[in-house]
Amino acid sequence: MPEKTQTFDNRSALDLRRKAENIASPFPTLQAEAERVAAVVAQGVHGRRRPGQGETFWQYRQYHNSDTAQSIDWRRSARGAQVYVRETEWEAANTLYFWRDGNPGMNWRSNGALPTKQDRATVLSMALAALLMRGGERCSVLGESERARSGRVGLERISLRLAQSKGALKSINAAIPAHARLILMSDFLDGAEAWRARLAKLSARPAKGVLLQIIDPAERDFPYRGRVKLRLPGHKLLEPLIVGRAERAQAEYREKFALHCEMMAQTARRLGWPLIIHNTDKPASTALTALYLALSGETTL
Amino acid sequence: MILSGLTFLAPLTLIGLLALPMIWWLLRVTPPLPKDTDFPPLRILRDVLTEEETPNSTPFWLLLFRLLMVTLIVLALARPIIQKAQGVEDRPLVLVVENGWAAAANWGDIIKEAEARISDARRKNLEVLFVTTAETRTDIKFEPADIAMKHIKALTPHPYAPNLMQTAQILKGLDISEGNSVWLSSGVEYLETNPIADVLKSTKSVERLIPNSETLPLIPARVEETANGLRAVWYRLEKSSLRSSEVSLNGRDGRTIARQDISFAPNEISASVEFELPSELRNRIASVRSGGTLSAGSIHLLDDRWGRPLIGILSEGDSGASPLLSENFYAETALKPYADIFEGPLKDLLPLAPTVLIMPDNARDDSEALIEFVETGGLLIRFAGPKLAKRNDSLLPVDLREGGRDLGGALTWEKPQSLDPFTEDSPFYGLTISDDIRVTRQIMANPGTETDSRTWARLADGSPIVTSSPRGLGRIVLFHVTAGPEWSNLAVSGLYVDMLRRLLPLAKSEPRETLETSGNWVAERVLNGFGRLEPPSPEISQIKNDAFDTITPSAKTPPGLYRQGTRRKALNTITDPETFGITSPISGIKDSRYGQTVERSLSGILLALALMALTLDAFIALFVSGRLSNLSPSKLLSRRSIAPVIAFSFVIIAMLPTKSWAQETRLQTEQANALDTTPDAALGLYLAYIKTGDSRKDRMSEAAMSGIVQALTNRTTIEPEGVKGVNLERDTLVFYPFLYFPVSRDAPELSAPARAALNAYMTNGGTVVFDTQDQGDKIITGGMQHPGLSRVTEGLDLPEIGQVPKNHVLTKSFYLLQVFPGRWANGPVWVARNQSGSTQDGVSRVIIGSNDWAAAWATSEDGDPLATLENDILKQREMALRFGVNLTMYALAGNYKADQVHAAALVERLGQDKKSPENLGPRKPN
Repeated sequence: MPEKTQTFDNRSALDLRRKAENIASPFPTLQAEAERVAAVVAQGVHGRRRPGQGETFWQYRQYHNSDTAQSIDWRRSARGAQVYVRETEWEAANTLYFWRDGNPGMNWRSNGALPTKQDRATVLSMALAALLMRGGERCSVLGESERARSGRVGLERISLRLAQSKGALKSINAAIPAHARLILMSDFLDGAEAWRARLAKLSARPAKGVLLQIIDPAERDFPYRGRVKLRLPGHKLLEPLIVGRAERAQAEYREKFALHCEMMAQTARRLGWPLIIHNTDKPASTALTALYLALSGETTL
Repeated sequence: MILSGLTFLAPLTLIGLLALPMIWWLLRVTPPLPKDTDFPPLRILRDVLTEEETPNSTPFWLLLFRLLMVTLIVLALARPIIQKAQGVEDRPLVLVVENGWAAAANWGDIIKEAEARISDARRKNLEVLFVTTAETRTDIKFEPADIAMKHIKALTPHPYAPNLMQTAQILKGLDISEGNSVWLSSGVEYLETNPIADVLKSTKSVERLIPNSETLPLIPARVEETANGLRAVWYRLEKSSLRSSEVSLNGRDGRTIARQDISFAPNEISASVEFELPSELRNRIASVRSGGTLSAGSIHLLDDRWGRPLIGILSEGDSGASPLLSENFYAETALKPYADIFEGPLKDLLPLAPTVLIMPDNARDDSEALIEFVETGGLLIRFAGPKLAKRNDSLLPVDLREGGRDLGGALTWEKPQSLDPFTEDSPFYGLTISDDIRVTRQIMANPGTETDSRTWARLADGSPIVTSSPRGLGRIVLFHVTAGPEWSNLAVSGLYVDMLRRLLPLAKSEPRETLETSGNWVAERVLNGFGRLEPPSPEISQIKNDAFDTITPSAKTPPGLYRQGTRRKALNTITDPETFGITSPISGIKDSRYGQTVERSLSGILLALALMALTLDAFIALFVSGRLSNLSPSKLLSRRSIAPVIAFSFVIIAMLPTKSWAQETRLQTEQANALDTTPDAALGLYLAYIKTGDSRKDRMSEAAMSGIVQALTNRTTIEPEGVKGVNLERDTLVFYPFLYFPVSRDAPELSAPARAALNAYMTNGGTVVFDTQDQGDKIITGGMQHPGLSRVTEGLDLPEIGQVPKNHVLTKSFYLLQVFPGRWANGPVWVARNQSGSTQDGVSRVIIGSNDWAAAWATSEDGDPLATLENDILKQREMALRFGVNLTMYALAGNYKADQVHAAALVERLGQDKKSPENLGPRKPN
């Protein structure tokens, strides 16, 4: 039985935080590869292996007449006849935007022992946010956070925000800087067509990211037997579907569901978004590993 | 509809089986309730199921199961029974039901049998002739079985013997030769030969049912008074076996007063049982019944003849002598606990219809009225004396010699005589004679055989001292000594009382009738067939006075209690127990026992099976809809919504045990608590206050007592263990030196046990400190009576009180004080005026004041005072505490402290201290 309502008071937010940190703790600090984009990005602690504004020493180079006199490193220059300029490494932080689907269908579980899809998504996003922020990245909740944050305090606020996130669909269209990176978590049950349109719009911004498809095992296997009355969660007025012999529809349903997943994966791949499939009956850490790999490997794409 | 012994009592119900096809169809088309659940990927599923599936049908085996269930219910409602085949040809039934008193003992069996026979006849569509023996219905004829069944339902046993002759007459007038007769006998033979038997023999077959002889009623013969109680004689109807039962004595309110086993030896028709009862209890007995059988025949009602006799003592006006010297005084004192005694001249006594008249010598009388009293059944107890010694009269049991006989006087050589042990034929037999009884003077009877046989007691030398003879219906008993101690010290011995008591039962057997007792007897309470007393019905007729003794109980005059003015008489069902016998076999009549024709109803079993199937079906329904797994305990417990339900059901289960059990346990815990408080209160010194029920006041009293405990511990060698609040009704009070009792103006009256406890406490040396706590209001109330105090002290054994005198022990038991302040200081304090009570050790039972001492004594746990004081005097709180210390000292030490009144003088004599007596004390106040 799915829980119909879930209130996000601070206690449950804290609870989710603790879970997320537990998952994140065994991972090495994730230094997401920062894309070298010319767009204005905020300065941060992310070394870009090129000279620029920053604090870490990068290299000495010979004075060029376009350099200002203030930039000359006089101590180094005094050792020889050359005049050197001291350059620092350009440091910039990457901003990651989290979106967790808040569709009523997400707040559902087939079995009291499993987490709801929404809870699992929240936990995963928190864990990922904790990892990223530990690595100096800046995180934000898509369409809901006022600005990207980093650091310990930032993590607290992001976690709270994630826990209380409404995850409305229109948040996907929220104003984000170009080349922003997104992490979208949903069950993607709206159909591949709908998501193709949404993802295409995002890619055109341009923006890139990772998709996490969360599936409840019942959605995958359709384990019902006998006579069942099925309702679409969140749509009370919608006529429920009565299935006379659920076991008969099982095989066909599984086929259709696999097809749906396949369509979704194809759509994502075509648009350059890696799609990670996660079942709620599997441990959350497997999904976190996949997300970690996807975010690291994104640079190779 | 009979299938080899299986019969349906309501065969039409079987039409309900026609509903089965309908149920079949309904169950087939109604699918089981679907499992309701949410499912997010419904869109995908909708593509799979393009069209609504046809509803799932119920599994076939479930369908069969449910049909079987319905069949079971229908069969059960058709009331199937299995009956033993009768093997008798179907003929009209002649049913004779005995419903006299004897039938009541086995009434359940008789009615069950009658109903079985009639319902059998109804099934076979036979007519029934239904006759009862105890009442006479005139319209007896063959009727449909249904009507006979109605008669049976309304039938009750009657408390009198059946009228067998009349029943036989009625049966003779009817043509019953074509019927089978069944005779439901009570097992008791009322007459020598039973007339019904002959009549019934004219039918085709006769079956008589008789009850087990063990269940026949025991019948009472008589109840006699014995010296220490009573003896009840019972008869039984058959005498071959051993039989034991129980005889109980019941009071007027139906309560059992005593109970005793009675057992009949084999071949003994009667047995008796003796009860030893004090006379107070004996007088409360209203009926004697045998346990186990409910029948009017096994109860014996007692009436006026039983119980306290009315005794008249003749006296000739007021002699003016000292009462201790009058003869009447001794007789009256001896008999007072056992009888109602009236004293006066004969003409005043006779209208009271006394059963015994006691005539001391100085009131001697031999008038016609007295002779008539004796001859109509009265008992006259007379004593000898100087008057009788001078002149004989006619009311004497034996011939007397004129003149008395002096023993041990100055001019005699015979010593005063003691009594000889009583012989067996004397009513005094068994009484112990103490050695110090001496007769110094007596009246001598003329010797002779008649005198010997009429002598009940003799002196050691053989001369009669008590003689008795019947006269007419009554009896005269003569003591050859005086009723007082002039001639012997018999009158001041316990033997005198015992002897007179032994005489009382002699009088009660025949009540005397007085002039105004000739009206009709009206039924007051009548017995029903089962031996219960009920209000009489209006048809019951009155009984003429002279006919009462000869009347036999009948419908018009049922047994019970009848009243005539203030007199009451019992008419018992059994007048002569020896006339009844047990049914004996009669040739041509087949005897069988009750309870043989069993009729086993199957509906109960079928219904139980159907209900079990219904329960099973609930589980099956869960199983079919796939919800059975929801019932696993772990799932049930994990669900928050179910947890309260489970908790609630546990509460219900916990409440299931009966209320009485709960009360019992509460009572037990209360008793346990009461027991618990006793030992530690006894092991140490505790100060106590009386709980008033006003919690504010009780807290104040508690704080006040602990304030004194503190003061005592700090200042004196008295170190109390603590404080206890006592409930007067429950707690044991003897442990506490005094009880502080705050009394408000609206204090209620004490309950009787509380009053008794407080009185006992004060008598045993306790002191109660009443504090009205209203000195401040005295300006308004003035000298008015304190309503609460007067209510509380109502019924308390209080001494005469006065204000505390200047030299009272209370003023110097520890501190020297002249004021006793509390919140106020100027209120008077009252103690017992007289201090010489020996049991009290000089301590006043009560101390009454209005200064609100509790307010001044009360301290918090830290020792801070709790209430503000009026400060009428300097250092008022200190003075109040000193009074508290003095009070405890006074209550504990008593007049030991009073001795110090002389201490000043002693000290002065020693010359060691020249201080004035006022300054003396164990500790000098500053």
